[in-house]
Amino acid sequence: MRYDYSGRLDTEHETLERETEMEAFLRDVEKRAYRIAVVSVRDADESLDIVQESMISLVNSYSDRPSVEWRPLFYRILKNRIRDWQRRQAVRRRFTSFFGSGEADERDPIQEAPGPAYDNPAARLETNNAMDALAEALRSLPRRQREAFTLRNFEGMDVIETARAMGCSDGSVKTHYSRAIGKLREILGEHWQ
Amino acid sequence: MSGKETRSQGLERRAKALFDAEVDNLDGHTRSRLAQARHAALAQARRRSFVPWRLGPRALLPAGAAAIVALAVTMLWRDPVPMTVGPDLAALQDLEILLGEEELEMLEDLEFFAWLDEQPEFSPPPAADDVG
Repeated sequence: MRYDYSGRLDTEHETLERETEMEAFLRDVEKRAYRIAVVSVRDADESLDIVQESMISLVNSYSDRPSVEWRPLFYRILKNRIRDWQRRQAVRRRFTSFFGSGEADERDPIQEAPGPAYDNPAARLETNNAMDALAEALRSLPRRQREAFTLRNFEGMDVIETARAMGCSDGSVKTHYSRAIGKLREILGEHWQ
Repeated sequence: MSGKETRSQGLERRAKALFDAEVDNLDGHTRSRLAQARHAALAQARRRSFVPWRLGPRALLPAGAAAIVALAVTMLWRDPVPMTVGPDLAALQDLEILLGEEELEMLEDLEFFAWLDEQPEFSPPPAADDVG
């Protein structure tokens, strides 16, 4: 009986530990994931929804996986959510343009997205402008190049993790990333190099 | 290291620094909403995982013991040892009848039945002796 009781406690303890570990992981990635989503989606609310859906999906489906796998899995989910959102938006745009509604074009999601809380307005402006330029340049890249750059550079993933998150080979990651860098240099100009 | 590589590294460093600054300076409102999103995700998982059999067979032991005790009590209650009906048991049976579900409902509707009794169309027909 004692064995059973202590065994149950161990299981509960493990579950609690797992949940604490998952919470720490989510806290660690949530802000970066949100910024990555904003770069692609350009809408604060939509980005928050995408991040939350990705969190739920990870927790529901992959909590039992080793914690070292969570990061590539989470970013793979996030990437898929962003892609799904972009597809839906593309369909919506086609639909609204067919019926002649310009309402969607009147909003400026970048203006609506909350900016960084700097004390120095000049620094904020400079950073905002630079980030806007970078985000705009990133959006002009092919999807796979953008994903490779985002995961490798912004999220600091190594080639293997990025390959897992993107669902491709290490070699493909290197190729996409290298091409992304080349394209960004072209777009952003000399002052960025 | 070539000049081209250095320029690329400069771009990578600047992009990373910009992104990190954006993350570090995220406004309080967005941070709060992200924390809410995180809690919501974990709460949903908690609700989903609260299934005793997922904890293993040992977790079912207390529930199984409780079920056996409940079954034993029910069997003893429904099949009592035969005994003579004394005044105490009769009183208990009266109480059971009094507290039966239908009787309780009738007690709740007591006002309605009193009102019904006062209505002429529902009054009992007069006895033949009363007809004058």
